Amino acid sequence: MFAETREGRSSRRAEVVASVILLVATLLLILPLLVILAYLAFQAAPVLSVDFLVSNPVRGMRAGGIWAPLLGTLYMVGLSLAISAPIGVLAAIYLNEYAGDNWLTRVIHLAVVNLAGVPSIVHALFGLGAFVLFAGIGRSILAASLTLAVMTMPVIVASTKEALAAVPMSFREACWNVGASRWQTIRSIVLPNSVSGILTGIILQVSRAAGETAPIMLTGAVFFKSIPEGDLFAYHLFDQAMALSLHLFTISTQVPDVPDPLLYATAVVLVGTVLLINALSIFLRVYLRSRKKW
Amino acid sequence: MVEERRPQIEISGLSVHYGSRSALREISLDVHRNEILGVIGPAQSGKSTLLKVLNRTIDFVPGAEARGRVLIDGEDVLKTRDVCGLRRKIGMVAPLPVGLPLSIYDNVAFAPRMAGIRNRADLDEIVERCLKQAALWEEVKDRLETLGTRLSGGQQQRLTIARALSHQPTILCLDEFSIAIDPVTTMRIEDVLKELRSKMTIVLVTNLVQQARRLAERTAFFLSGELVEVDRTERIFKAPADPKTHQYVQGFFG
Amino acid sequence: MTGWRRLEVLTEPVIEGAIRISGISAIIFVFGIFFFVFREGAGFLFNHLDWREFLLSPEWYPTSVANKRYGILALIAGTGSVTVLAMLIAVPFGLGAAVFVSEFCGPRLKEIVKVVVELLAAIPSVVWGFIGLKVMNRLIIVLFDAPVGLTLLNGSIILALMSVPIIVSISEDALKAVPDSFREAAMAMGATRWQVVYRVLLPAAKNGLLAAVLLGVGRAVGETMAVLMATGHAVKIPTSLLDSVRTLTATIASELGESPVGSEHYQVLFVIGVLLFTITFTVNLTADLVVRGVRRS
Repeated sequence: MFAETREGRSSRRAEVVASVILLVATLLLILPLLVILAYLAFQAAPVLSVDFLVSNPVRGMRAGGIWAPLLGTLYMVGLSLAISAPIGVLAAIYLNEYAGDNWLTRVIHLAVVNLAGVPSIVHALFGLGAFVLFAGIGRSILAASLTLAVMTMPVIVASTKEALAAVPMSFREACWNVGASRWQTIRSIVLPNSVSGILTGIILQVSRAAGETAPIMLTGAVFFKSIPEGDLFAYHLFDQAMALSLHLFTISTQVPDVPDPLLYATAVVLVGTVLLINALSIFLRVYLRSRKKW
Repeated sequence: MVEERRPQIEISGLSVHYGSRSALREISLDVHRNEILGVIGPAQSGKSTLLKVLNRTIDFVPGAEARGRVLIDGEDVLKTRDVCGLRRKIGMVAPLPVGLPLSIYDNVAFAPRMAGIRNRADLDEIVERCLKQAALWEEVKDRLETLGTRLSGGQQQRLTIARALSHQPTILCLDEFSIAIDPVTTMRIEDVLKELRSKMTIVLVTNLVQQARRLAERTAFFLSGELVEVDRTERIFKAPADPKTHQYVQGFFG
Repeated sequence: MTGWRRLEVLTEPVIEGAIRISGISAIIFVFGIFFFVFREGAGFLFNHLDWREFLLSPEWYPTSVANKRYGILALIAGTGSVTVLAMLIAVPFGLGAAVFVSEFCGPRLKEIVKVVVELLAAIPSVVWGFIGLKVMNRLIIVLFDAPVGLTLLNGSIILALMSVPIIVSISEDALKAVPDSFREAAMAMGATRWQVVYRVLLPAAKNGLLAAVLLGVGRAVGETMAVLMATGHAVKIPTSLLDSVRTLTATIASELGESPVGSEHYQVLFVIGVLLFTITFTVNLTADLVVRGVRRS
């Protein structure tokens, strides 16, 4: 009935061309990543083993395993989350459940948003200036953990606030109407229904803290430290420690003649750990969606 | 001759504003024990604000300020410290039905638990009694573990009434309860209210003037934050003192 | 009141107090960062700083015994060139992927792409640096017959890959925020999907898209480890893609360890930190304001 015009034909052609270009652009993003990761794994294969994880670096870090750095990362990330998660969640509860819409809240929001965008090296300088020097803690696991905590806390605040805000206001009003106090409402309705979202946000910061190098480089992580293998309590609060992220940097730029498989294996363990933690958070999110209660 | 008893609710000189906007102006109104008081008026006339002042949920509205005196059983609610205790004395039903994301049982047991009642037998008794009073028991008695959010609108509104009754209030406030539910459920709830009137005082805010006519002994007409007149329902509908009242109940504006 | 309830009434104010204190602590940290970084660099900032020399001279010789010079122009050029080049690559790909995911692809593919983008974002910067050092390095030497592979080009490609995820996710949010009614109205007038995109959606979402690019820029400017490992160590203004450069961030990271605490060199590095903080703060603030403008309309 309607004959196709020349414009109609050319705009259909433009549409096809456009969708192909966009598809290619997207693929160009994904494929190199997969190829690179596969290449890393392939190069690392000769060295990867359980022994690699539980034995220490030897021969000037040109051989052996990654036990000391792995344990160090565990300590620093664990301690920093123990500090930033509780404070961050409480701060978010304050912002979403208690604070009115006044100038103070807006300033806090601004502060949180901008804190999230601070370069990691500036976090390192802050940690150095505030914890290592001013507070006199010195370069140590404690200083490095505090620096990581300041780095992760704002994002935890933002993602927790989002999870809390997703709970409909009508639920809170129904609770207040039957005489529940603000805190009773929060602990019996709001928190239980936002736990998955809160956890997802925290898990993502765990993976971020595990991967960061600059903030710990200046505040407590060292190139080399000798600790007994397999001992989970080898490090102490005011010790300096090795860390996996810094270790990768060290052996690929500061130590000559490190065999390639060792370098690739270290990278693979670091990336693998981080991606596994992120996969956990994605899993949690999917689980959350399927168990929605309203 | 009715014995001269103090009215349960005595409001004098109540004014409320939200920031710069005035919501209620110098309201003076009494509510007698065990009566059903209808509150009618067009939108933005202050009816919901009045209810929010009674149970102090006005505290949660940012920028809201209330001045005047509101006595319930002789105590000034604007000055009361135990706000949660006050709210337990008053049952509140909101316009939109809400089922908390808990089981039906836990929905009704929520308020008693918050007040400290832990005994399972006591809670069972409260849940059954309140659901029966709210005309919901027969429909849900075999599935009390169902999530409250999965019920229909009409069922959720009755669940809200059950929740409101669970803390044994002496005053029940309903804010346009029928606005989002079907006519059949509305009728059932009106029957419930008729049964409850002997046990408690009911303040019924409604946008359906006929509902006030059906249920209320006295009716108050609000317009733009002012109480225009309050009188026996018959008088308000047949021979009101103020011409604006007459125009509203006749449907000339809404 | 039962015993439980009585306990609760007593502890509630304590809990609520703890909650309030945590809320205030967030502000303290932002100001704290600025304060402490500023403090360490204050000596140089107020006593010896010649703004003209600092910002406009490319001669950076902080360790020279005879003639110390603190010109950071070459470093600014390093950061600037790497960022601009990275954005030239990342923005078209990022926006393209966002448009593709939002408007053209089916739900199954969408989930896959979104997961991949999220995992891309999770890769630590030191691993990206490692990829630049080992993989991209050799690629560039082979493809361009270059003497050395740690160059501006290397760093830019790596930085582009790092910035794409944030550009994709914020752009996708911006496109999702455009009401469906816009799309339906345009299609009802006979527009093809592509026409709907470039005539209706891109203009409607331009604020959010701009914010996405700004946040990508902020990410790129602030990146440390990846550029430290991938761009080489030459402190000079680049004249070709295959030149080595050094960024502001990499300079701090590599030189701070060796400078004595409190020395002039040490203080200058902190001043550079203040500069970086100011730049990223401004960029992020602008992006936030741009996005707020969207919400208001």
